[in-house]
Amino acid sequence: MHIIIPVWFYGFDSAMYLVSSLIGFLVSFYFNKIYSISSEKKHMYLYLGFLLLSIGFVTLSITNIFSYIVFNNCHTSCELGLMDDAFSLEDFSYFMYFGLSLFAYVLFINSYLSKNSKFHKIFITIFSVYFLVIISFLSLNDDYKLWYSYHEYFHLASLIIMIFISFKNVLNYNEKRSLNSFLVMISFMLISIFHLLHLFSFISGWMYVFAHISVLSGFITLLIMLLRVKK
Amino acid sequence: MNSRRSKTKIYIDILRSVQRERGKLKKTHIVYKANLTHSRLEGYLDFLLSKDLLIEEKNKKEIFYTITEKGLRFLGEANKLKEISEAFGIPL
Repeated sequence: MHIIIPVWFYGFDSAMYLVSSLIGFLVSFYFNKIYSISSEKKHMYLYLGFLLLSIGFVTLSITNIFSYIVFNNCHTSCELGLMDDAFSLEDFSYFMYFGLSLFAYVLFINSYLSKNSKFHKIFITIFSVYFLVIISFLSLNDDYKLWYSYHEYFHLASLIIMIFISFKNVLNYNEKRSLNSFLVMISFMLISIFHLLHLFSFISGWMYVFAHISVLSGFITLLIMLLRVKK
Repeated sequence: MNSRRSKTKIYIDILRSVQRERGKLKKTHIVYKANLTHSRLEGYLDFLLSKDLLIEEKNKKEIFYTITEKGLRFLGEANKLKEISEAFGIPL
């Protein structure tokens, strides 16, 4: 499967990743403060999770900008080597983004699940098997660009994890019934939708556009929550 | 109350106990309101006094501990962090 990205959207996606990462760094900063008070691992996982997620977004944002510049230059004068270089760098940064994001999401799971719970062990086992299957399968597949072929597996795995995190936040909202818990619940749902729409980005360029609007809205919702608390 | 509270969490519990009693409390009352032993409380009180988060006031034969402006600000910050943490469903 391929990804359709509207040409007019080039650069906007990078800007959206950058804004999301800045908000992510802010959330991470507050969870670092919370962790310094509580010394609880659950808070540390959220602090590190948001930090890694934000670093992943920054990496992706910078690489996308670089790739688009190279791509635009290629319309006038471009040697194949330059294209290859750009896309090798893209491979590297996409793998960084995939790896950092998945690691961040696994840290989120650790925040919401007790390590002794049966569900935690089942979850980790299923994901380990899933990743092994993907790696084994894709090593035999030379049809795609490397990062391209991992794209859908990454978004599927992320979607499953984020649905679980969203579900945990729905339970939290049902218990607290506060506007802040509602905003956090919505933000995790929007990040889940981001991964869901990415899975269908082969249908239309609008899927890619809406996916990015969704992730930006998710992080802005988190920012609104922080501003509400801080005022 | 959690038996494995961090130091900072204990400082917050002490300050919160004092604040709830109109900002002024005797040592014996802090002991049970913050769920601490007398010997452990001494060290925590010394720290809070040295950082100007609490002040010691002598009234005839009794000693009271009063929360300062700085202590109230610290507690306010801690409450905001608590709110953020609870919004994520992971209470502080």
